[in-house]
This record gives sequence, structure tokens and C-alpha cells, in this order.
Amino acid sequence: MGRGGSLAGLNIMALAGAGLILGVVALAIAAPSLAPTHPDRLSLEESLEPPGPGHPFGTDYYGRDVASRVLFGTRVSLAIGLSAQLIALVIGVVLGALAGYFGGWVDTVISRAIDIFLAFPDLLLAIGIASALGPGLPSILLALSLVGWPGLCRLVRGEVMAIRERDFIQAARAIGAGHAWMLARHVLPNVAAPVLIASSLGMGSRILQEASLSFLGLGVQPPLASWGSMVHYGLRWLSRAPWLVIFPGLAIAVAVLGFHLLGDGLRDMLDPRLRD
Amino acid sequence: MLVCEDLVKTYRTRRSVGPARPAVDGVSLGVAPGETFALVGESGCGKTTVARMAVGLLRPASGRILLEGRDLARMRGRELMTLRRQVQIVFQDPAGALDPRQTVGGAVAEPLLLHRLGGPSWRRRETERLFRQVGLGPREMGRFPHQLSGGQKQRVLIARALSLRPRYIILDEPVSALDVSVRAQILNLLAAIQAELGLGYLLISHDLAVVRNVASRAAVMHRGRLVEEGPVEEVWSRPAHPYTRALLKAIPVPDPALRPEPPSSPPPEPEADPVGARADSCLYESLCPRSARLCRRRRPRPERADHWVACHYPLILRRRDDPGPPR
Amino acid sequence: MVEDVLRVIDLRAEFRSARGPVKAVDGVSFSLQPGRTLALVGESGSGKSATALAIPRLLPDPPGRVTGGQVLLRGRDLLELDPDEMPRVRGREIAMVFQEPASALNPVMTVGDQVAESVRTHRRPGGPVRAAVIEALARAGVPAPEKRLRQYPHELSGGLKQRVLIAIALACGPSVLIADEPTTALDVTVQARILDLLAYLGRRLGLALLLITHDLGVVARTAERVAVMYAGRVVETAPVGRFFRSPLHPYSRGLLEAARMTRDDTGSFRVIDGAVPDLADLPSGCRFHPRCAVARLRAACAGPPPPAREAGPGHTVECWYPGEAAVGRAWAGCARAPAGPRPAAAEVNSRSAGL
Repeated sequence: MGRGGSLAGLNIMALAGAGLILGVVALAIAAPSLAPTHPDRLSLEESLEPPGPGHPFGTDYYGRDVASRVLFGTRVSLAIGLSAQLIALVIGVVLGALAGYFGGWVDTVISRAIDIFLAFPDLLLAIGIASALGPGLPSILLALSLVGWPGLCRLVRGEVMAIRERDFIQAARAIGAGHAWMLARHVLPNVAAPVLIASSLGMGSRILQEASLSFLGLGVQPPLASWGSMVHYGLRWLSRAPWLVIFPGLAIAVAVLGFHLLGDGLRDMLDPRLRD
Repeated sequence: MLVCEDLVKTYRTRRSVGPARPAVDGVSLGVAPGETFALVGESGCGKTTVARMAVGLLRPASGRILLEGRDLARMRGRELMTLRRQVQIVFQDPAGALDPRQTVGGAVAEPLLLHRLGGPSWRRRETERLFRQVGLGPREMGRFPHQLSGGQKQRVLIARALSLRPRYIILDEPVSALDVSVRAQILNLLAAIQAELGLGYLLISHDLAVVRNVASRAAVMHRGRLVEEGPVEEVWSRPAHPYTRALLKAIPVPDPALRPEPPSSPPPEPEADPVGARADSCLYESLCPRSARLCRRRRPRPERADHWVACHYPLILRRRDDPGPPR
Repeated sequence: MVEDVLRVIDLRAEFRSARGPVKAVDGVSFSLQPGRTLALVGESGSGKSATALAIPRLLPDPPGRVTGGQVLLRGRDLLELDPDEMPRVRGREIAMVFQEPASALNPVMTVGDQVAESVRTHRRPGGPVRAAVIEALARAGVPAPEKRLRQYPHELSGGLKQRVLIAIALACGPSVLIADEPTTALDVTVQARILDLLAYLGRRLGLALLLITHDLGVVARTAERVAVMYAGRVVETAPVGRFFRSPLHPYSRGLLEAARMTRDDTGSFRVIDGAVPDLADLPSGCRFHPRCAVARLRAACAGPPPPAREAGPGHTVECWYPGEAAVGRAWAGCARAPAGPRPAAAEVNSRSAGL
């Protein structure tokens, strides 16, 4: 029983979040067939047309169809968000599990690294890394992963430390299990739920951060367009053609909302302290 | 035999300055196959530490653990793994000792998988056999721990301990987390398994009624040291150490006819005495009604016998020429 | 006949759960008299702790809720009282002692301050607080009470912590004390002293004591009356002597056999089959019948639930076949001397050997 009630045992928030995400993913996959035109097709005579029958979301300065660009931008935003989150996940889980399980100097080293990373505001850190490396896809991925791992790592470390003290770990040692066996079979499965929750919330943050970096011009470079870079370029015509900002902005909001709803809903569903 | 010889274990504590008093201080005991040996004591006396050392979960600071005459501490790698299979443990809290994300069938099969015994189909049959042996059906194999009752979970843990076909099982308070009505089921099961397989049990317990009813020999532990050991009937009917007697007197007996006279003044709580107590004194001295000067000066050493006691002025095992404590 | 201080009549309480309401307390009745102890005995899930919490209206809501019945304290129904009046009733008239002394004390407050808090809240006008605190501690048998005032809970042993809690509970002179498994977390030697203390205080102060426990040994040592709870109902109530001599409900008998570790002809311990039922999914009829050896060949037990019947002075039982033996097996709860030493013998022993 969590907030928001439930439907057939599933949390309504989680269902709504999953629905939004599935919708966004479906749009990304079906982009080529749904898009009215090719996203990069220039048509200067149609410059800055407001939303209408031919161009549901209007067109930009070069006459490119905004709807098509938002659809294809979904692919870019999702792909970057997902990859960055996956990299952060791997780093966070591996280091967090090592720190929490072995403790001692391993923990000290990893914990200090986490402290250093968490001392900087997320976005500032991302901007710093991205501008140091120069714009481009690899640098944005690196920046977002480096921002994402410390939070996950600290979570995993804490969970693993708590699990390490549980009797079933002693019981596994008593049957002769070694460290690798223990981590793979007993420790990590028991941190899966909180990691899943944090990852869903993290996906929302990564998408937002990617948008922010791109908005600042540090992210995706043309001709590739993500939602953030579209807002960045649309800003110039904000007063004349607000649709250039509104639609990619809405897309960002919907995707982030979806991941946050899913994360919160999963927390209510999976957290054993809230269950029963 | 599974023999613990002069085990010592000291935990480092943050607060204490200088050498801490050992949690386990020179404990020796032996469990024979087919026998139940009970280690009795109150919380914090070190009995669980002994149990964990006996299965190799903790390494003793000194002393030896001998399995059929071979020292476990000197073994490494495969040899140790093989030998370790012969001593298994059942924990007190069955809910905590099972991984909540693992099916109970998986928990019982896990030791087989870990030790690479048999193939998948053999392991499955073996798991089914173990489930039957502890009175569970194959239906339960796919369940998760929270879907089972406390008694069923303890049965699962017993099956898991049996899966490696050990010769000794350490039972660390195996029924104290269970409901009264379920305890007897588990004790009967343990007795049946012992009779069938000839296992040696080291029963760690604070429940003197259980110990009296299932063990053949018992040792009483107090503050890290054994104070008395002997056949259960002997120790229970003629406790020789003042601490043993106090312990036995304190058991609430389910018979109102044996209720002690209600006190006419508030029964005082004895002062917890300074735990820095010197290693060369009796550690029960400050609580003991029979305490005398000698008790503060010299650690009582037992003379090994079938029923022995570590006390300068024991209650009944006193030799005839001993004048007893000075008044 | 002593007047009842507290009468609980047909008390009902339930918890909301994912699988629907769980009737933790389902029509429980008993009464408490001054200077007497009633032991409420049951296993996990019997509803004994929910009963204890429902009386002073401390049942956490949500998920818990009292759904019916009366709790009459000197004739006044506590369940009808304005919630604002409850804090005055709790402490001044009904006090509680819980199982975990370690978590019931505030770790960052001195013992003296914690007792003083209770003394002050319910103080009779006038009188120095410090003296009252020291007196309360001394009454609970805390040695050197002046020294304890400035100590913190972690500096005390488990037994001392429980004594401090008893001092806090009794500081303002309640007439009812509810003790929920007060000695379960303690060692046997400490337990014996705390039980003796409760028995002493109960008689000395004329307290009506409700002792919640799962341990029949504790009951035999402390209580005058027993009420056995099973799956939310009191299945048997009796004076202690009668109960231990001739319990009538098959569940009571099973519990007593378990506590005395009675063996059958084959040398195995007598068992109660099965496990405590799930309160969200109770069996029909008598709640104990699926586990009951007496019910095995009898259809009535699965039919309408048995009503409470008078079985002797102060002795009631909810069973269709009270006192009947299971088919093919005599009740043997009393046939064998109980486990453990006879204190009398140990006493003699100590005198002859010790002096």
C-alpha cells in the first residue's frame, strides 16, 4: 500500500510513468513513419510557419518541420540519457558494492571520491567536464555519467553495508561461499530494487541534464538535434516563434515526468518497509 | 569428534583502553557423533562466538578446532572446503538466515551448486529428498521465505544444513525464535535426523528446559569461560557452580505450585560490576554469595572429570578435606 | 469479591492490510482487579499485543482501528472518551511497560530527567521533583538511585533499564499496569528478578496488572488468573491453579504440554500440528479446529464457532468438547514432573552446602 493507490496490485503512479515512457519510446522507434517530413529537409519558403495542418508543430527558421525534429530528437535524447545512465550504473554499482562489501581502505578511497564528486552541484560539474572536453557526443556522455555515478554508488554502498550484516550472508559463508559468489547471488540481487528505483529517477535527471548542456551549446552539435539543442536554437526566435521552444520543452517535461513517476511508483511498490 | 581446544577470541572495542577482556577465554569442549552437547549461558557470555568459531565463520585468536583429529586452522583451499562441509550451522532467526530474494528450494540447492555436486537433475532430486526429510513438500520449493511460517523456514534451514551431508551441526538457539507450539515439532525433527544419520549436535542455548530435554552433556558458560560441565542430569540435579545454581533457580517453571514465596521487599538489581575484572580472578565473584578472598586472587581452574566445575568453593563436588570458604 | 478496576467487554480491533481487514482482536473480554495479575497468554499473531495497545487507545491508527466493544475503567468507557482526555488517563490511571527496554528509553536524556518528566506531567501539587524521582527509582529496586539520575540509558544493564521504565510507569500512581512481554528480551536471571519486582509492586501498591506473555513459566510464577488467546479470541480463562491442573481447551493443553516438554509413548515431544493461522484467512468454526486433535473426527468443530461456557468458578472455555482427550491419546500434561529443578530442593541444597 503506497501513495496513489493501486490497480491489480500495481501502483498507479508506476503504471502512469511506464505508460508515458512507453509512449515516448514508441514515438522514438516509429519516428521515421510518423514524421511528416525528413527532420533535416530545408524549405526556406516555409520559414517560421506557426503550427497548422501541414506542420502540426510549425517550422523553424530554415523551414524544417518541428514535429519531425522533436520526434527524431526523442531518439537522440533517450539514447544519450540511457547510455549515460547505464555507464553511471555500472560504475556506481561496481564501486558501491566493493566499498560496502569489503569496507576498510577500499571503502575509504571510494567514499572520498564520492564526497568530492558530490561536493559540486550536478549541473556545474557536467558543464565543467563538457567544456573541458569540448562539445561532442563522447564528452557529453562522459560528463553525464560522471555526474550520475556518485549518487548511485553511495546508495549501493549503504545498501550493501546493511545487507552484509544480515544473517543470510553469514549463512552463505557457513556453506563455504566465497566473495564473488556472495556478491553475485546474495548481495546484488538484494540491492536490485533500490538500484532500479534510483535508475529510473536518474534517467529523468540525465535527460534533463543533457537538455541543459545542449541548451548551453555544450551538448549535441548540429545537424544532430536533441530536445535540448532545439530549445537552444529556438530561443533566438522566442518572441516570433514560441513553438520552437514550447514543443521540445514539453517533450522534455513529459519524458522526465514519466521516469520520475515510474521511480516513485516503483519505490512504493518495492520498498518492503512500505509494504505489508 | 569435533573438538574445540582452549579457544580464545578477543574483540577490539572502540571504548576500551588497553587489552580488552576476551569474549571467549579458554573454552574447550568436544562433540561426539550421535551426541548432543549443549553450551548454555546468558546473552553476551560468548556462546555464539564459540559457535561461529566452530563452523569457521570466525577465526580464534588462539586455540584449535579439531575435526576427527585434524586442525581446521591449518587447512587451506579445497581441503578446507571439503572438511568444512562436515560442520554446518542452523541459526537462531530463520527469517534472517534466508535470503529474501531466493526461493527456499534455491536456498537448499545452493550448497550443492556451490560445491559442484551432481548435475542439475540430480540436484533437483536431492533438494526434493531433503525437503521430504524435513517434512516439507516439493510444493514449498518454489516459495519465497516470507511465504512460509517460522517453523517451515527453520525446516528449510535444517534441510540446507543437511544438504552437504555434514557429520556435525551447530544449532545456535534453533527454537528460541519460534512459537511455543512449533518448538516441539522442530526438536522432534532434529532428534529424528540425529537418530537416522548419527549426527553430532552442538546446541547453543539459553533455554535450560530445552537443553535438559534434548542434550546428553552440557557446559555452562559465564563471561567467556566455562564454569561447569557434565552429564545434563548430573548438572541439573546437582549443580556445583553457584552460577549454574542461580541460573537453574531462575527458570520459570510452568507449575504454580512451585512458585517461590513472593518477596516482601523489592528484589534489588545487582550492580553490574566493573568488567575490567582481572584475568586472575573468578569472574562470578562479585555476584557470588560464596565469594571469598581466594576468589578475587586466583582464577579457579577445573580438574577435568566427567562432571567438573571451575570454582574454588563448589556446592557439592567439594573434596572432603576442603574446609570451604572462610566465614 | 473484589471490585473490577478495568473491564474489557467484547473488544474488537482490526488492521488494514493489502489483503483486506485483519481482525487482530475479535471479541475479547476480561477484567482486572486491584492487587491481582491477569496473564494474557498467546503466540505470535494471537492478538495479545493488539489487545494491550487497544486498551489505552495506543493502537497505531492507521493501520489499526478499534471497531467495537467497551473498555470500562471504573465504569467509564475509555473508547467513548474525548481523545484529548486520554493522555491524562494514560500514565495517571493506566501505565504501560514494553518488551524492549532499550528502545523505550530516550538515549540522549538522563535517567533522572526521564523519570522527572513522568513525575512532573502528573504531579500532585507541591513536593520536590528530585525527591519524588529518587523515591520512584528506589521503589523499582534501582540500586543507588541518586547516582543514576545523571546516567544515560546506555550506561545501564538491560534489567536496570526495565526497572527505570517501571519506575517511570509507576511514578504517578496508576491503578492499572499493562506489561507487554516485559521480560522477553532479558536473561533468565534478570527475568526472575523483574517478575518478582512486578509481583511485589502489584501487591504493595494494589495495582491491577495485565501481563502479556507467551511463556507459561512466567504465568505460573506471577499471575493469579490466565486468559489464553488464539487467533484474536480468548479461548480459555481460568484461575492459575485450575488452569495448570486441568486446562480444558485443547489449545491450552497443547501449550502446556509444549511448555512442559511432555513426551509421548515413542519418546517424541508432543506437538500441536500446523502453524498459527493467518488472521486474514481464518478457518471456519472454531479457529483452532484444523490443528486440533480432538476435532479430528468431529464435524461440529467446523460448524458455528463455539460459545464461551462456564466450566467452574471463574473458568470459561470456548470449545465444543472441553476437556475431552484426543482420539487414542490421553492428555499427559501433568503426568511427568516439569522440566527444571524444583526450587525447594535447590534451596535446601544451597543451605546445606553454602553455610
